[in-house]
Amino acid sequence: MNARFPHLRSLSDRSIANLFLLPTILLLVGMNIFPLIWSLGLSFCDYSSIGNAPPKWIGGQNYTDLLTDPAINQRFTVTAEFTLLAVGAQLAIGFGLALLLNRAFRLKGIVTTLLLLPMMLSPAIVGLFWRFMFDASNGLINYLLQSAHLQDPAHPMNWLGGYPSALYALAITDTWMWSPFVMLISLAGLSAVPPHLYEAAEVDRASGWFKFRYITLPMVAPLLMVALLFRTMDCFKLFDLVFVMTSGGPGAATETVSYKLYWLAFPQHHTGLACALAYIILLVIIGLTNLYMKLLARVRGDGIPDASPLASAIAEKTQSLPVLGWLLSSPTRYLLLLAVVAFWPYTRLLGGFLTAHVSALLILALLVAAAYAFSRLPLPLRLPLALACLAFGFVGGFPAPAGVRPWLWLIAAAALVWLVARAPQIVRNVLAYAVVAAALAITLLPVYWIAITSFKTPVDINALTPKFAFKPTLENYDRLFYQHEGDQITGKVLGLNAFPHQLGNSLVIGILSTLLAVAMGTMAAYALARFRIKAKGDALFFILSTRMLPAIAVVIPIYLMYTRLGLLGTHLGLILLYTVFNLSFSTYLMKGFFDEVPHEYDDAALLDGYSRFAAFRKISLPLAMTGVAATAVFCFITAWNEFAFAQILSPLQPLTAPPSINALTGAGGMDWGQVAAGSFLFLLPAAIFTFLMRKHLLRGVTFGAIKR
Amino acid sequence: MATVTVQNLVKRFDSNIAVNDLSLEIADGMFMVFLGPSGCGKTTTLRCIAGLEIPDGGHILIDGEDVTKRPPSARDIAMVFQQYAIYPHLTVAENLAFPLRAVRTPRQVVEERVHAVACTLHIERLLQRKPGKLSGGEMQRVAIGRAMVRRPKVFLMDEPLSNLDAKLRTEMRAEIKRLQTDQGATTVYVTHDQLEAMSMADRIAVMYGGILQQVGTPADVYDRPANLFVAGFIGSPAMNFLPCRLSADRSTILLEGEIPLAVQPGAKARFGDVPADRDLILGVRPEDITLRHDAASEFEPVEVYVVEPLGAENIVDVRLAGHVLKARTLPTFQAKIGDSLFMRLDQMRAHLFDANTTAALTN
Repeated sequence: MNARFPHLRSLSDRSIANLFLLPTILLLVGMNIFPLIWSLGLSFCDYSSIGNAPPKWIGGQNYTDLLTDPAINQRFTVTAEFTLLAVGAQLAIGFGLALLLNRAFRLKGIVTTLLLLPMMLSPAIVGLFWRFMFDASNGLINYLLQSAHLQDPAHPMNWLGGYPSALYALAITDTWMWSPFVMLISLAGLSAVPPHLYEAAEVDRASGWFKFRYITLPMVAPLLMVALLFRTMDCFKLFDLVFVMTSGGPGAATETVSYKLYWLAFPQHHTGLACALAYIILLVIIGLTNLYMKLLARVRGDGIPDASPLASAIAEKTQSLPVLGWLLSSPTRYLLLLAVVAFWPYTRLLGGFLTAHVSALLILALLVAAAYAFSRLPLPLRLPLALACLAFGFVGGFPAPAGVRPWLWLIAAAALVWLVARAPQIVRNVLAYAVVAAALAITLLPVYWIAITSFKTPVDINALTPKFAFKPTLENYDRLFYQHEGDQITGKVLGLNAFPHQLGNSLVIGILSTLLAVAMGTMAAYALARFRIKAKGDALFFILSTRMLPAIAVVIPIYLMYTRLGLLGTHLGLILLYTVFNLSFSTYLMKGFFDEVPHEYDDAALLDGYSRFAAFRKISLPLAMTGVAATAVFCFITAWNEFAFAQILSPLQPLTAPPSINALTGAGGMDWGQVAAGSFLFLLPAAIFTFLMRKHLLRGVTFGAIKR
Repeated sequence: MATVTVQNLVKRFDSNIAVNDLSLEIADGMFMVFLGPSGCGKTTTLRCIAGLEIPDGGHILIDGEDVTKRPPSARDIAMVFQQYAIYPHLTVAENLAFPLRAVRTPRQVVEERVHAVACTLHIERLLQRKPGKLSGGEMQRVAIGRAMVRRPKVFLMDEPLSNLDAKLRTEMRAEIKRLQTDQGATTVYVTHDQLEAMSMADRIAVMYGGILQQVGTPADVYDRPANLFVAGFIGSPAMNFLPCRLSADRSTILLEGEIPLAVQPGAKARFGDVPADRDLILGVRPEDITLRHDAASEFEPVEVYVVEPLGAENIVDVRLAGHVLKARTLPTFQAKIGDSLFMRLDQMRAHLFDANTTAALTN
């Protein structure tokens, strides 16, 4: 091989390091840093990308306008509301499921993998389909709610057309997608707790709750913080779901900041203003990251105490509030508080608006008092009381005022938890399996619904009651792929539609960008893993930070750049972009894999007379090949699923499949049959890869932060 | 404190029998050591006593009360784990307090007891530290402290010293023995280290292949091993084993290769009951072999094979026909490889084992 690369033989380690690192650094600077600097400049200008006027320097005017605009403030509020709702639910559900799955049972592997499926799918496609299921008149969700007598058929919930239900719909969809992510990370944390700690606690006579509170929770907390960090950042950047599900509606009720930014930059072309908003979002995200990192260091206990002034300030405040201390000092009270906090936002959905915050506070106070009284009661009294609460809460039509009903539900749920905790092991096991089965059903139902909808005739799809039994047809696929005379399925086939081409584009762009990203990332990772490089930490941080940027903030200058270079709507443009987008990810992941190959192998090869390049090619690379494959799959799925860039950077006609599926329209709005057919075809590769990659999922989704 | 009784304990893992029909009495205040190689079932037995494993057969009694079906928390025992099982996110003080807080002991009592235990173990200055900042020996003390703070009926210790370095192990060995004697605590201690067992135990239970081989005082198992396994496992260097037969009149031991050894007058009675018509194994400890440079009666000519000077003693390997024997000599004893020497086995302290059943035939 040295014969084929004679010039590489003589290269010093230093030159190899530079050679391997340079492409990555250059590309990241060219496609991330340069655009960011450009947009920083534009954010101080009055500029519109469609106008002919050159940018006019107006100083901080854009920032002043944005920060004093109540509408922008409102967008941040909506984003925060969504983030709180979605992340709260994801943490609760994900961690809960992980607790249930953290035991040995048959089919555990396949059940876990199936539960993880949603997070590997394209958010845009998932959102589109949930939009179909949320339909007010013939959607699956209202149908199921009505079947369970949880909704009055005369007054169906207009999910996406109302507020706050539209926000809840977004949060539910996001929760469906990302609870598995929290579950995966929690599972890693749970299985990493050494079993002898539980045995020691068992011998020390600790109760189940005591073990959970003092061993499980603190040991898993650092990983939960990682999950929290990733999810908060993602939720804060929410764009795809809003775009395909609500378009920010009704009115501007679900317009997140990212969506507002898109709206400002593209349909409205207030480019300068949009750049300023992008920078504000960037600062918020950096702030959030920073806060979490400090909290994380605190949770781990290895941080320097005064490195986190905010956290210690919070701790101080907590101590000076005796009520809070009291609430946190007993398991029952603690659990109740958690439940109240977690369910607080849902009460609005369940029971309409609580008219005033005062009444809510009053109820909270009553609840705390009740819990205190409850915990003081003798045990024989507690059981019947809990049962009574349970019965009371679950009886359907008892005449409680709408504002109080959710609280009764809450009490009932608390009683249920209390009862379950005291049930014999076998009952608890059966309950655990039942909950896992239910979660599996909820996870798979939307995917199943996509599959069967794609085989239904339009009449069956639009039937007023969703149909589970129907006569299957390939009509939707036919119409998706072929253009028929007169747009009739019976008409003569005129030729191929755009969709097969777009699917092909997705494939080509996905594969090429993956090859580039993995090749460059692997070389950079090798250099970072093997050589002593000046400012290595800085280089790594720089590479990582480019991935943390919200896509929507980078897309404006990229759009301007591509307009000038003529790359808009081209294969090359998207390939380049996805390469950059995946580059930091592949570098990080591959560095982890190379770190696992002992450098002694390379050293031995060098002593045996091989050149450094040969050592890389013949020793390290083959040993890290599984890592390369895993990285490639993740890069491909990311590129394949990507929606926002593809939508914005091919403005005339969709280049890849996700925006094209979103743009499928029929006679009466969306042609759901074709959407289902396209989505089903589109989701298949991701689903298959989920199964192939199940061992590497954890590493992939956490950026290599968590290995196992 | 309490007595522990194990009756006909059986524990299987899938098809493997980890513990096979084990019965054992542990008296009040006794320091009982389970000794054996890894996989012999000693840890499984301990975990059954702890309640961490449910036996497939037999009973565990603590103070005469059947606790076989009870969870660990209902047995009033404390355990020190091999990996210490110190909760890494709690400080030393919180770790020590954990067993007391688990049963909601009043705060003041907790503080008093934690302080008392910390004083006993000399770890007062570590109380506010996290386990990550402790050395191995300190972790060990905390783990023992956490067991002591409970004042349980029985202490269970699962190879607690195996993660320490050699010097520290010797120190802690003495310290644990001292603590146990002071507190008069019934203790079950698992180890594969015969030195630990010999130096600490009141009674040693030697286990092998899930079967209890012998229970006895350290002197018992050393001087009167019940079978070949016990004889070979205890003692370092190990006992020398020589395949042999006994002549019909019991006057000669015929070593394999037809080398006759006259039975010494004092040992006649000792070998009197040993059957003459079967394959035997002669077992001699290295310290029961005497070497000298010149010939004498009862001494056999041998050739030096290897010399290992250990400082306090020399181990000399000698060759007698095809057999190699290890002999323990004074450090002043001079020998070189290839030297011709003369050797005497102390038959009063030698053992004969049945080669087929491995059982000891002399005692």
